[in-house]
Amino acid sequence: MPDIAFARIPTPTPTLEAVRGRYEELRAAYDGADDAGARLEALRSWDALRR
Amino acid sequence: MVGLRFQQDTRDAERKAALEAHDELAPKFGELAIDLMRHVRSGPHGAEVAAHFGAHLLDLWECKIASYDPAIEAEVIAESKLSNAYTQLVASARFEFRGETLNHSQLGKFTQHADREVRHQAASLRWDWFEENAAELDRIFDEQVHLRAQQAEKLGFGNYAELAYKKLGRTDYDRNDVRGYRAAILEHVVPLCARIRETQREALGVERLMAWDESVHDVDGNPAPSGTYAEKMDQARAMFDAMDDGLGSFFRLMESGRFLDLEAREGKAGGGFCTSFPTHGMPFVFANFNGTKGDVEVFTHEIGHAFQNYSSRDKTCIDFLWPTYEAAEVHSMSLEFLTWPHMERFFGDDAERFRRLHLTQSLLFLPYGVTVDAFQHWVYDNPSATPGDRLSKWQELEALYLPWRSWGDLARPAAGGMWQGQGHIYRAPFYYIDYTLAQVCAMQFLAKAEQDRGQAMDAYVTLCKRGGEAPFQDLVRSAGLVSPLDPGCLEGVVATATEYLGL
Repeated sequence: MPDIAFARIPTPTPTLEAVRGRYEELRAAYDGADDAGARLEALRSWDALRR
Repeated sequence: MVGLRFQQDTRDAERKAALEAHDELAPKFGELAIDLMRHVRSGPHGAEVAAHFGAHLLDLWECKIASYDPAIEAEVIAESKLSNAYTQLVASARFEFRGETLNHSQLGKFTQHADREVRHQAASLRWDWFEENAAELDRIFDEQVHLRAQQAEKLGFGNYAELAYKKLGRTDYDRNDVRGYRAAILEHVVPLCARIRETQREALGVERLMAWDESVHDVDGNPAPSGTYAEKMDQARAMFDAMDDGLGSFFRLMESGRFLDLEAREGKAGGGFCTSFPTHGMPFVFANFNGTKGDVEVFTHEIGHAFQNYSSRDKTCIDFLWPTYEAAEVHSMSLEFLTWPHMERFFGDDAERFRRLHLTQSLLFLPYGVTVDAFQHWVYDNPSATPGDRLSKWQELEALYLPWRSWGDLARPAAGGMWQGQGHIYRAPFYYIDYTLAQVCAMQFLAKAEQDRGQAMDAYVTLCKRGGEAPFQDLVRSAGLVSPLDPGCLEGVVATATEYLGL
């Protein structure tokens, strides 16, 4: 069982600039990937950002 | 997180400001996400993504792509503000009743009181409040309808219902299927419910069953859970430990991490819901216990959502952590039934009375749920209707699906205003038929559990673990259930329930 408490979960304060910057990095990584593995890795990082 | 914090204290200006800031930013974040979905889906490697994550992911993305464009950003933000205004208005209500100051949730306890006069007084207070606030409630909804119609028009949909189906990720049925389902409810369930209401009237010994009698099914009043909050939590812990299948350890994790906010209090928003923090893999359950049997029902319901979300927390993509709403409600409503053998813990000698009432009210809910759905289809098919037209339409639909209903001297609902107390219509358009579809599935889980409890629990846990990796009907069929949208499903469910209730 994980040791996790609601009180320790921070309230996220994302800025549009930071999120947009990360998104553009990941889109470039997806487009520039040489193989399926690298493309899926970019999508997994994007998924983590959305979470 | 900011949405939850606002619901926990709607009076806190800082929390409200944080939520409003979120509501301003959320469409922009959504826009970025949809942009990449569109890019991947239409690019040369879409098939690769479908092969890895499953074709359903691309279907869900198609729904998201079709239902958002920067051109509707202003309308989306304005719609969110109106939804928050509705929440805040309803949460601001205060009632002086029997020596207490109560909010809507707390007043709700008295709508189940054994004394008919107390029920009538509580109902009068509630609906007088809606009468007094009718102009503002009409204004909020009217503006929402127009904003939603504008969004549909800008995105090229024929009306908002089409857009709403996309927003809800309904990939395997359409409004025609839902129309057929409503017709099946009218044919098979409404006559049974009319018989239940007549039996109820006789049991209460009243000449005419009034709206304020509908929540009470015999002269002893409804069974209520016993014990303090702490004692109820002790019983809940023992129940989930006894059920096992991972439920016990999951509930202890929720408790120890304080992922539960269950008691009603001043300033807290009404209702119950489950949300989650996907980065941390944990759900959160919010409720408003008021001492009625609803506490147990809401609690087991929301824990069902939470258990599903926790069970599927490691899914490969965020889009699969929650299923679409109608599938998600299967997990919650089914757990309400699967916990039946443990109801003695909460209701003692009244447990069987609780079980019969739970099933009875589950059946009675179906016609009400389709009334809400039929109303919303009409509202968005007729976006230029006036507030008065909407009241008339609700009256007409009530007469069709709920023909036993008598509002008596409660002026606002008698005039067709009952729907204004149904928050989903303001805050989550078209998210309501989902509860009825899921209820039909949950009743099938009850029937399975009556035959073989172990097998039913296995099917339930497996379904929870699947999360949202498939559309609604695929998921329910994979659990050995018949889709409620399939012809013949309702007849089977009604026959089983009728037999259990001895009707």
